[in-house]
Amino acid sequence: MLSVLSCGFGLQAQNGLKIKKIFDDYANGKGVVMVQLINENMDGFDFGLYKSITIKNNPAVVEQLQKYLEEDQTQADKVKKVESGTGKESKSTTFLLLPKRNNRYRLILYKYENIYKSDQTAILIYIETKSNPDNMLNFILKKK
Amino acid sequence: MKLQIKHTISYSEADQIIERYYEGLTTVLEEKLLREFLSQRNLPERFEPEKAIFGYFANKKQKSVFSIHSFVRWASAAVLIITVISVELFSLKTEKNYAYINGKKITDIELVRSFAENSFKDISDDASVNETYNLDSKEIIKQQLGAFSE
Repeated sequence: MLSVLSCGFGLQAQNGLKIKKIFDDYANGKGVVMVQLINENMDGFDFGLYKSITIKNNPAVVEQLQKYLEEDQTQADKVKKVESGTGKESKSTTFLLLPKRNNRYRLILYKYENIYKSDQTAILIYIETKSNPDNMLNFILKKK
Repeated sequence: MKLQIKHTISYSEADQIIERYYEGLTTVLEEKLLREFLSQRNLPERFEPEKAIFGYFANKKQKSVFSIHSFVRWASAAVLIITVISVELFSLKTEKNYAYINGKKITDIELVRSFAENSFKDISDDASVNETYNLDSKEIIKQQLGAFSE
């Protein structure tokens, strides 16, 4: 019962972020892959809440997502942005470390990839964790 | 069994109603008849327990009268509510891990985990991002200063 209630609180913690609307509105859309894990452990890392959404070839939704991300960025303690590629192929990646909530670190990872203007992929990941956020990011980024 | 007696009932009828009363099967009319019957004086001693039950509520002068029938009804409602809440909580727990693929919901935990790991891979397949992120701030400053000294 307690774990179920804690799940509820975990989900509530995402409130206050604009990107929540993307998960709420487009999770079961066409061309979308959305994943939710609660209280899972992967390679020793705690995933109190893990949500990811991958959106393919939907510029309108991506535009909205980026707008929300910029708004959420104003709350972030740490922001890292990387842009790469030119012309036909471009990539941009954003990492946000948000203030802790419910004793958990909150991370947002976002990547947008545009190849030949016809193949666009946006990936948004939201994580709440008790693990060290830097170690967790290194773990995620080394996954291949 | 419904009795249509308007004023009073016989001892044997009262016995039957009392029996039904304890089983929670009496109607409102039967309980009313029983109350009227038990309010009589000089009843045989065997009706004393029921007289005490009905007398207690009569003295209270309340409209609501204790009834096993209503108790059973409330108890059933409580059991139903508890069951519904339990089922809801159980389904919430079992569906906390899921994935949507093109609108199709998947709850197989191994599949959901593999989709999560795929999104890690998708976000991490840019070597330049990894290198940049893994640098701590001192290293970044060192690199930036190095650019001026070249």
